[in-house]
Amino acid sequence: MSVNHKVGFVFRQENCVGCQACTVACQIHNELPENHRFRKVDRYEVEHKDGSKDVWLSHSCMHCENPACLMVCPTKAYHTREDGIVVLDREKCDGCGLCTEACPYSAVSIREDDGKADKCNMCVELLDRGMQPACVSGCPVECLKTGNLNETLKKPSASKEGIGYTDSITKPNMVIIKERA
Amino acid sequence: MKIDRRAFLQGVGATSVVGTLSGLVPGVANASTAPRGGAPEKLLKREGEIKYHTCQRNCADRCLLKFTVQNGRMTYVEGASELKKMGTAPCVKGTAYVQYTYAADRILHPMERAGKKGEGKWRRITWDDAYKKISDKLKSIIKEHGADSILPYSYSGHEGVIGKYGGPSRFFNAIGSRKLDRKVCVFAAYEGLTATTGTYQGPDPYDNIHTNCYIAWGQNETATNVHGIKFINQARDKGAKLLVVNPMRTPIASQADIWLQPIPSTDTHLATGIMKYLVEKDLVDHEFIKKNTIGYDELLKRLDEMSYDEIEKVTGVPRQKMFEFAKVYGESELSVIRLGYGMQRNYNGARMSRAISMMHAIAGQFGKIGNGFIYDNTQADDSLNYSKGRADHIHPNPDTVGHVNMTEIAKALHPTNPTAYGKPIKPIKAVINYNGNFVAVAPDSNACRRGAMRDDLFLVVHDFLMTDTAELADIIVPSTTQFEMPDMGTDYNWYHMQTSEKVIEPLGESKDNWIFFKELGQHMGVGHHPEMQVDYEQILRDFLDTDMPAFKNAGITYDQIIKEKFVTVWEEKPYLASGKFKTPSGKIELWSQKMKDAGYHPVIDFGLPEDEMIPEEKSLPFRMISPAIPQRANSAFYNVKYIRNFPAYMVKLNTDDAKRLGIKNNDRIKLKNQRGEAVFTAQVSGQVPVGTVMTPKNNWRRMNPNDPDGSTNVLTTDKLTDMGGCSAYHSTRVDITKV
Repeated sequence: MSVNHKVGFVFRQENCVGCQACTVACQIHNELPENHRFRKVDRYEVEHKDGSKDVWLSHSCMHCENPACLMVCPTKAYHTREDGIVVLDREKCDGCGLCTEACPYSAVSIREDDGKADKCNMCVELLDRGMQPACVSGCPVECLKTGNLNETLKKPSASKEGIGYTDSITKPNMVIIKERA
Repeated sequence: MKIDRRAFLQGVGATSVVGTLSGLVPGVANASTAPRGGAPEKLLKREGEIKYHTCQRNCADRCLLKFTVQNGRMTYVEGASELKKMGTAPCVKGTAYVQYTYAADRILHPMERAGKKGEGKWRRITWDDAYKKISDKLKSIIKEHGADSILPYSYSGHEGVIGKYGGPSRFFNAIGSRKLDRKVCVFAAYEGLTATTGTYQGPDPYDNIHTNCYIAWGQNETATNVHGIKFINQARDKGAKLLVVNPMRTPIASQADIWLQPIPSTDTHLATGIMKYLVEKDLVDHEFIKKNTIGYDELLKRLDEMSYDEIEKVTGVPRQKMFEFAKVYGESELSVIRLGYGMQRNYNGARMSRAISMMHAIAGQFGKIGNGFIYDNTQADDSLNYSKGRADHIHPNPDTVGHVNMTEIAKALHPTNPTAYGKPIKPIKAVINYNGNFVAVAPDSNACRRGAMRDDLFLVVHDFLMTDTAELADIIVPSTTQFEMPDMGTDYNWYHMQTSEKVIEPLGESKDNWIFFKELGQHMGVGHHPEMQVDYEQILRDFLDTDMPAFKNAGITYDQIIKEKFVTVWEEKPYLASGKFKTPSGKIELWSQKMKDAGYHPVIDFGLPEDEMIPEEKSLPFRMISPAIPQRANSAFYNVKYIRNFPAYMVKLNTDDAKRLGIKNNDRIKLKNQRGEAVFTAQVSGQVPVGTVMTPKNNWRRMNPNDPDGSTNVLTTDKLTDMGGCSAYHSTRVDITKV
């Protein structure tokens, strides 16, 4: 079941400024309806010793190792690729919505235009051509990347813990990089 | 079962998930080796001819973008990563340029009003009709009142060399119109900074990676310089400190090592406090001061006159925190300051800017790679031959014709008592508005609207959207976007000059900023000037006909810019290392005759905006600042799919103020002062200090979901800054109530 070359999002949360460029770049690449977003950026007010600060979490599908969406889907519309990316075959989706309820990261939702589920597939059509997902190439601060998870997680600055994000039973595959105290 | 994501993330959701998943086999089901589920058809929009085009919004990043064109249609945009500052990404707004260009609400043919002004009734007309009606009316105004009764209004809707001035200004010079002083933006700090160091320009921001201490002072990089952030982070990764001064908790402020949150416009006091600390702890650079400054003794005396008690009281910044900031700053070997444009849009803008640059001078932070003071890096732009490019010489009476300051447009259009710079002026009978939307962007919007609504004012609007200004027009003529004409663009942060190739043909019947004014000139009988007969290339060549070292020393030519897409102009490096400061004394002037002549203290002047407010406004409980937000560029992008739904009609207020007034998130809040009122949606947070509210600048009343008559600039002041004739939007006070 293990995959050697697993790909995941690598997010340097400490550098994210919440500009939302990733969200829009994703919508445009994926030709989404205006109010349908695969990637969202949430602001968290975090208390520090000298007052509160803003921290942003850019998040989309976590491409979990144990994907809840895949497990609950009655039409087998989801599958995991060898590189760990969880993709949705929309042609198989009948719009039952179980996956939207199962996903603990709110990464799947039903589209208003066709009533079927949709989510981030890490722009596999770009990755397979050696390019980066739209959100990654669309980040002007360069704080969102993709990487080989096994390699990335060896770094002392890497973990699956961040503000608004933590490891869980579905084994999400986004890595947070934290270089600064 | 729906699991709330945040509850889940707090750790309590894990058992719920187990429950949800029970009976299912965890693991990889449906494993497949074939690349399924991808959507290769989404790549089709990236296939086609590539055009290099410079974003011409008024933003210091001045992105060079690459557009994909298929069969004459723009399909995709990305950053031109060949240019170091860019990377692969436009900003959040630029990413949506295809949607901006093909917006469903674009105006694509000329129209004349078919009802009363502002009634919203329009009749489609032909271009021939439009030209005839506009030129007949303008000619009769010229005959009856003189050509100086015609005023252009424009600013940064199109910042291209041709689009901004090269095209339109030739027309206004040829007919001999009134002059518009376009000083809304940066000019208070120009005065304050030149009084100190002789320049408002600074070092190359690519060298920020070499600094030990980056200071963002009144600058929100996320909104106005997002492509610069990666270089700040490169410096931080090597150990540099990030210090921030801002009344708003900007994203950079949240990420800073130390963030000072002064009450708006108290920066002179804050800089003074830091200077006092540097002197007391002997963190000043004695050698630099001796070699490069005059007036240090007078400065020491002046610093003694201001106490820490007073500084703490005025700024609201705890002194220990200020000391902590000053210590990190003073002990940094190399420190670079980025001063924002917003903070100087205050009645004391020049004086605040000067104090900050004096602080940097006694710290000895000029003349090395990795230090310096960055405000407006117009090395390329200032070196262009503007007078030739605009054909200033064809104006019949350039030295005697009247001027109107664009910030005072409401005063200039006043129905009974028009003024400029406090003096009565001859009435204006026609306004031709292009590259702008003065009812939304100029201060005192209600007064702007009253002026535009005058029955005896002929208003022509050249735009591609039905703006707050266009809806009051007599005739609307459709403009192209910047993408439908060739041009060039000058950076004002990095030292670049960039190409701006025509991406697509004009949509509908729209005409660009040269074709419209060139043809209108023919109808007005000024087409005989050779300057009115040229093509785009000749206008660009006129601008590039310059002997300035920025271009000469780098050997930059028109053909090179066209071929290489971007160039870097020459500048002294390290900046100011020569120790030659362009002040009267040739040194950094800590004592300044220029400041004295302007009526201010020659060393440090502690005046505050409240000192100059009328009692009625001064007594209002809140300062209102109206800075830029990342998802808009002045009044642009309010209609653009994927961007327009990001909030631009909110008012941010402090948690303590909200609690006191019983205001919660998403409440509708009315802001009010003697100029007007507007309703916005409350956002409660610690992002603004107690006693200050923030609303985004330049939003449109037409688009306000809470209040079709309310916008930010209904409330803002049109009084000018202390020096430089600049706008002072942030010197505004308001009262707030829940509606």
